[in-house]
Amino acid sequence: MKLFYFFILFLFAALSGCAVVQPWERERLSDPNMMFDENPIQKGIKEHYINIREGSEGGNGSQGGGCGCG
Amino acid sequence: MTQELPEEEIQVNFNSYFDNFRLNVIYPTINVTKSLDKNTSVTGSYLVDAISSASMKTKFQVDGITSATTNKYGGADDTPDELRHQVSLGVTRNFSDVTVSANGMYSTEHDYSSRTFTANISIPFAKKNTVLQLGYAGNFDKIFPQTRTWTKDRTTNSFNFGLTQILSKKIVTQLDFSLTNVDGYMLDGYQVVRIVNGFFLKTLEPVTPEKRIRKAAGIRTNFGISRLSTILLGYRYYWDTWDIRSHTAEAQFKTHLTENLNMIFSYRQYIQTRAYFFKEIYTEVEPLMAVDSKLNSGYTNDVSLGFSYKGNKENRIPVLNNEKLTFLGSIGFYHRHTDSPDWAMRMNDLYAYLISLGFKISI
Repeated sequence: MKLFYFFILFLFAALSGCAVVQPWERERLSDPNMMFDENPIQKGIKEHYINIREGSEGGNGSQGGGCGCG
Repeated sequence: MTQELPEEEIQVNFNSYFDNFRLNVIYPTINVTKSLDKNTSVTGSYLVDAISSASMKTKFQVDGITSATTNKYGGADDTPDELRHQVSLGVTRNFSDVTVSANGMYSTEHDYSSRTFTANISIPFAKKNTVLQLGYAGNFDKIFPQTRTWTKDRTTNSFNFGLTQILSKKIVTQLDFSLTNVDGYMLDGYQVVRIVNGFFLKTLEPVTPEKRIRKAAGIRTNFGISRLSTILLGYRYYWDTWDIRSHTAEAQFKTHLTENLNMIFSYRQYIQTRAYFFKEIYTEVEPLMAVDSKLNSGYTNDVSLGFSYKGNKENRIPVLNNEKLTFLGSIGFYHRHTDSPDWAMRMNDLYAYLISLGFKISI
């Protein structure tokens, strides 16, 4: 439970403590390599074989996520 | 300003998996994404798993010890090899800055069927420096092993919460939390527990709790270390009501080797504790008994190298000069060590090799 509270705390820190990066300053961020899951199909295939062989799953990134660029 | 929809494309992949437990899997996939209008996109996919499993045959031999009766209501057939078909259909729609997506999936094989529904919403804030993601996945499975006489159900409800935050012009981070509630039968139906007590040997079906609450929290951060390269670092902590705790660390290095050739190197390390009822050997019948290696304590290592090559007119080789084509490939190695031998293969270490080749074409 402590970890969850730490997570919430970190979340609010992240929300409130960051300087706003303007859209025209995102050249580096818009590189496909900056995306967390550039190829969701390959990610799904990899997660499938890992989930079958390990006892845990989840927390690997929300579907439809991205860096919010563009 | 609206969120970008997925690109219009057809992606075809030929994936393969081979391990020292004598499991061989070939699974081609095809995925089509098409825009209906400027705010709506649909995606359809089809996957076939062709599994040749000597280990499965071993399980059948083991199962012979149990004198399992011929299956009348389950998926009885003559072969332990598998052929799984999976189809899915999804839609993504932008409502101004908010993106909503929904996806349905159906998977069927001779002893298992699965229906999944997912829904996600992404809401950007602060000039898209922050994106909040909320997701739900409902999974409804039916398990009917060909060596058993029963059919059992499993229902999984999963809620995901994500937050993607731009930290600077070169750094973006993502926080994730997932809560999953699983009810019903949580094994594959083919495993057996051996009760060993002196000269006494008895085999029984495993029994696990019929409820499991699973939680995971993760953070991933992507650093643009140069104009051509990025490094991703990630960590995830997982815990559940079966007393499994795990730590996962991952690192990825991505770089543009040329204008059209991109390379990804990934490393992932994972360590977990065992479920509270898991034992290597049972000496007496207990209310809860399990032998599944993924409920055992151990660790895994995963290394992979991938590439993508975008076709371009400068290339003189036919096909590679098609600008609409992108070629994809990867090779991976996976090692799992468990603190006691696998129940069927009697080995502590699993070594697996994964190869994937494919292409996508813009439409």
